[in-house]
Amino acid sequence: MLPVSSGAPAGRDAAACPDGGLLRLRWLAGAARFERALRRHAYALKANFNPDQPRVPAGEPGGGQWTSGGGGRATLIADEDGEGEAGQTDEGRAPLRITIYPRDFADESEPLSGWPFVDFVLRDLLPSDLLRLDPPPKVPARRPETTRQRNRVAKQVAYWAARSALRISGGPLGIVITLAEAAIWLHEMYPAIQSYQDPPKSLEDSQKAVASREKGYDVHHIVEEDAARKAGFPEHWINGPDNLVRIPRLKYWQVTGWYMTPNKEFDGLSPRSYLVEKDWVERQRVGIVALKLFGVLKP
Amino acid sequence: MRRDGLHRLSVEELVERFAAFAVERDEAILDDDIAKSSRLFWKLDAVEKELKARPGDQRTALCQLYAHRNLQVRLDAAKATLAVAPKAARDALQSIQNAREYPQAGDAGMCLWALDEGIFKPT
Repeated sequence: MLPVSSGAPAGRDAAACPDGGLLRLRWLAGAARFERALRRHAYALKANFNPDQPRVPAGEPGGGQWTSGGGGRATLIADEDGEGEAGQTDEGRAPLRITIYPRDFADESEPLSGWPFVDFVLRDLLPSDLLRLDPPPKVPARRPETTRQRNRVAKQVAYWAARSALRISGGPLGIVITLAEAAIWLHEMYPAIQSYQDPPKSLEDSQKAVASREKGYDVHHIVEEDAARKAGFPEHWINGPDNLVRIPRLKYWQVTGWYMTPNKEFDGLSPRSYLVEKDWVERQRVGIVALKLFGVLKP
Repeated sequence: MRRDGLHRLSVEELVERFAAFAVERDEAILDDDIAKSSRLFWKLDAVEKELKARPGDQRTALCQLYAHRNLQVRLDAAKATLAVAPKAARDALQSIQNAREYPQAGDAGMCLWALDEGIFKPT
């Protein structure tokens, strides 16, 4: 929520200051228009907006909501008012519902101006479930200035959501995250947060998925692209269908980070350096093992 | 990292230093700061070498970090103690892998895989 939306106090200010009142009102009207445009933009971005994406049929729980419709992945809802029906996962289990929403917002008419953070609210959970969860991360109400800071928040939310699902349901199923406008900036990170909740997929499905682009996912080279090119492997191997998989963005960053960092098991070399002297088959083998052990591919 | 300053520290202080570096490394990993994470890897390595050089190989003192609340600390401690407490260290790594909290779970899994493959022979 933008600080400019504090209509009532600003109106009082304007009335109390007749000389600047007109200017102030004009400024407020412009700010309100800007805020509405921002909201429209955010909703267009919501849930990887795609007009062809299926919706839950009317009359069913969550009727009219977007649904991903496959693979046990959770339905993603990003309502303007934080309301909405969660529905069920493909496995028929009630999803864990996480609302990124200020705790007191629903009970108070005052907007959020000046709030440094937005709290999570967990709904539809038993008290015994809540006891098993770590405290949720803090989401800054204002958009952090740097990409690194924004990514950090997205990762904290995604990791915490995945951890919570594991502790409550024992698996990465049924996460529904509902965004309120209070954390409007987080919409841009939403696809990456949601895709991180995907259960592991088969190698074949991940390879086939390369043909379709989707926000929140990246195409990953099982045998690292640059290193393979430096080693002189043919281009049709490097960018061939066997070597490409589409994986959740945050997983892609995790695996890439692991490849680039020195590691005890490779005698202080990074996995990337360790593999420099290896042939294609060994690089591919290590690459697939890594994807399995980082929870991207099914074991 | 130069080990010159480390030799003045007690074993207990070295364990504390190890945990602090690992926590810092956890933050660097969360930020995808590869350079910082790499620097901290070598700082952890220096502490481990210092403990190894102490009479009786004091790396066993790091086993107490298996119960640390930070997952990266547990991971780095488990890897550092594989040579001196192989069974307990493997169990700690397996526990981290089973927790499925990434990226540490993936790193632990790759370490176990490298051990089983004979790629990693802890000394």
